[in-house]
Amino acid sequence: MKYLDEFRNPALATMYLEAIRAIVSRQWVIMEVCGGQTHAIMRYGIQELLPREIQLVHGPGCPVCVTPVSNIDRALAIAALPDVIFCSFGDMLRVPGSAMDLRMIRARGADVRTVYSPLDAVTIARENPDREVVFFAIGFETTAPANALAVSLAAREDLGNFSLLVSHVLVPPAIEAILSDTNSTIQGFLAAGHVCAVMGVEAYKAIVSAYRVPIVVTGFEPVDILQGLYMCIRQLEEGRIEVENQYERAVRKEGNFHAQKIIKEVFEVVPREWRGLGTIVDSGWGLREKYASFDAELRFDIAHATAVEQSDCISGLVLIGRKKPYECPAFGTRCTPEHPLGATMVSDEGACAAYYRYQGGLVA
Amino acid sequence: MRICFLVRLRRTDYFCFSYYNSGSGIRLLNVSLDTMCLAVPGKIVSILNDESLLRSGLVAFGQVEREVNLAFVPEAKEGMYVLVHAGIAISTVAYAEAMRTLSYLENLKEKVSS
Repeated sequence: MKYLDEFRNPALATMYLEAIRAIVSRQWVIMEVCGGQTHAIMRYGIQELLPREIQLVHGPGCPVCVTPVSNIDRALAIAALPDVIFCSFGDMLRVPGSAMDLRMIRARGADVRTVYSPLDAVTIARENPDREVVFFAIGFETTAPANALAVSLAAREDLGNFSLLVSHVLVPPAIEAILSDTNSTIQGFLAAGHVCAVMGVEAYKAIVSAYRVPIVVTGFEPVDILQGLYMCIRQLEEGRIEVENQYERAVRKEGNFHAQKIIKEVFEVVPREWRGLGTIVDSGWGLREKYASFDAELRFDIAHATAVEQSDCISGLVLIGRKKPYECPAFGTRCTPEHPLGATMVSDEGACAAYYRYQGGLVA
Repeated sequence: MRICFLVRLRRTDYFCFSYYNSGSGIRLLNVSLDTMCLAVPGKIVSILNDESLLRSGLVAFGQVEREVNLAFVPEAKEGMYVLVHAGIAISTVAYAEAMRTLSYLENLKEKVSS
């Protein structure tokens, strides 16, 4: 397929590996922020191909993984209500809450549906006027335009039976949270290309100057990732600290104005709880007052129980790059994609699932 | 009765193909990403609706076509490529920039040698 195959060209990838080898003079620790990049790195064995000096650390950019247990419990409570059709992206169905997951609720008779787009949930709401239709709006900035559009269309059509359970998170505050940690060893970042396609690159300039780390906005194919790494390593070796854009074909400096406009119309910045990182100020989006009638948390009276994390799951540390999946005693034994203890083993973008799939559950 | 079932045709890491059996044959119902953060490039085959927030088009991903919301890429026309995430286009794909990325190393070498 055009714009995919060219960026998977092994000959070009090999050229980048050689180019990287030619400029590396010492050890560097680089974090790829997005789970989609982690997935590609594991799938194509990029870490093994790189010179030993380069250590890749996997970041928190997996929306499924950072959704806190408390929000999954809320989803489960709403999905279990009579007359509710609960719609979600497929990967959320297996993420364990305190006691259950959405699949188990569905097996008990709840109407839980997998959709590809929040717009599909709007269609379901339109077709089922006597049912409450709730969409589990998780995601980073990439997914926000779709969710904002769904709310906007529902408002326009006056769909009183549609609502969102919002668990939206933002990339820049997470990078800042990781960098403010004094134990952080990360020297450079590959930023998530699709997030920047929506939001632009401006927010990263402030981080670069405040924390003195290079950031390269990077795509998701092997050639993209290798080029992003090359650009980042070159900055480190030359002592430059800037925001660079590897993913030029999709990322404009200012992002997508039309998408940003609808996001601003529907959402406002709120504090958000992250699995593994705790609550971070101004790190998420919630519905504005004007759209409060579409907020599932306000619409349904859900009792707030204390969320219970699986005690032997270290996904919190994996999410911030402090531990590798194989350092977890449960990895590949008590915790597998079929029976996950934590979200990083569920989503394809989760580091644990990527390690399990591409390294066969073996210790690296 | 309409029966829905999911078929993962091959492990491409990008699509799940879902079909339904209408009784008179199997029809493609949906194509979905299996990692939700990814956006996939597709070519606009035709514009289906040109009305602001409802702007949409038929987009081809290889052999598979799907209706995609194009509200946020008003500049996107038939024949252009867009990046699609969760049923909406979040950006257009720029040919010249894609080519520049592919020739980045060669350009770098030329710069060094000149």
